[in-house]
Amino acid sequence: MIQTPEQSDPHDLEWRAFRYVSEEMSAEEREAFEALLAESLDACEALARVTQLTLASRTVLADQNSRPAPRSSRTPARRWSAVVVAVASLAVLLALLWLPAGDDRPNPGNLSQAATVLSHWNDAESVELNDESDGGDEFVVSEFGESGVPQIPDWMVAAVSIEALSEEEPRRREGVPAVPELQDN
Amino acid sequence: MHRFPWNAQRLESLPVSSEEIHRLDAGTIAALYVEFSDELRAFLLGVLRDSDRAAEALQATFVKVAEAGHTARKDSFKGWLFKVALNEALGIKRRSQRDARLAERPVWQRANDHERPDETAVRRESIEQVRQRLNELPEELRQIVELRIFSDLTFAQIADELKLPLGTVLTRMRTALKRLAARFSDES
Repeated sequence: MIQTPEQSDPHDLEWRAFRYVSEEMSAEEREAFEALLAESLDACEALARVTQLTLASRTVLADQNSRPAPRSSRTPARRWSAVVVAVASLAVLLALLWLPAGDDRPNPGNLSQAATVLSHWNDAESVELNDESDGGDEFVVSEFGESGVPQIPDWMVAAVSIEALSEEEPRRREGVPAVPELQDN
Repeated sequence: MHRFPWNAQRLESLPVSSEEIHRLDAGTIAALYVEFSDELRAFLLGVLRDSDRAAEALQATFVKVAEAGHTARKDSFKGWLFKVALNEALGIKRRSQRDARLAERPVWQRANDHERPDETAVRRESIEQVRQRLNELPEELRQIVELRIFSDLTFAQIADELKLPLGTVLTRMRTALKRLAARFSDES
C-alpha cells in the first residue's frame, strides 16, 4: 500500500477526494472513502470541489497543449524563398570573393569555402524544415550526395555563377562542373 | 403529511421534524435544483466518472426528492440531498460494474479523446480562474499536475519518468492541489 501524506493528516479531505477521483486508491480505501461520503457532508463537498477543479484543470491543460508551437510556415513557397535567400547569399559571397586583387580568375579555394558556407546554411535550414512531420523536406535531403557529404547543386552554382563565370577563359566554361568538389581544409 | 408553502428565499425554513415525510412542491424542488445542482453534478461525476451516468444519477435524485419527500432536519437538508445522490450513484455504479465498459478509463482521462470534459459541471469563470492559478504554480508543481491530470499517468509512472521518489511526487501533487483548491473554493 502506498504510504501517502494523508496518513499523517487524515482530515485532508481534498487530497483523499483527489485520489478517489483519480482512481489512485485501493479497493479498501475506496470503500472506506465511500462510507465516509455517506456520513460526512464535508467529504461530499470536498469531492465536488476536487472534481470541478480536475475538470477545469484538464480543460486548461488541453487548451494549452492543443495550441501549435509558433513556427514559420512550411509551405513550398517558404521553402523556395529560403532557396532564393540562400542563392542570393551565395551570390553576394562569391561576388566578394571575386573582387579583390584584380584577379579575375576564380579561386578554387575560395569557391570551396563558399560551398562549405552554403552547405552549413543548408544544414541549418534542413534542421528547421525537417521538424515538420510531413515526410521531410525532399529538396534539402536531395542535396546530399551518396557519400552524405553536403554538395552544392549544380543548378545553384550555375545560377549564381553566370555573371562570375562570364569573364572566365573558354576552357573553364566548358563542362561547368556539375558538383564542385569540396576540398578538405 | 404536511404541505408547506415554499420559495427559494426560505430554504432555511424547512420543517424540523425528522419523523414525518414532507413532500416538496414544484417551486421548492426547482429552488433546490438551482441551489445545489452544480455541486451535486460535480459530486456525482466524481463518484461515477462518467458524465452520462452522473446526469442520470442527478435526475434520479431529484425524482426521488419529488416523489418520496424528505425526512431531513433543516440543518442537514443539504447532507440529506447528497446522501440520496450518493445512494443513486452507487446503485448505478454497481449495475455498471457488470458492464465491461466500466473497465475503461474515466471519460475525462482518455488520452486520445478530443471531447471536452463535462464543462457543465464547471463554470467558464472557474476555468479561467484555474488557468490563472495553474500558470502561477511553480514549474515543478505544474509539471506533476499536467502529467497526472492531462497525460493520465499514475503517480508511480510519473515518479519513474521524472526519476523522483514516489513520495516526492505525491507531496508535490498534494501541494499543488492545496494551492489550486484553496483559491478555487474561495472564488467559486
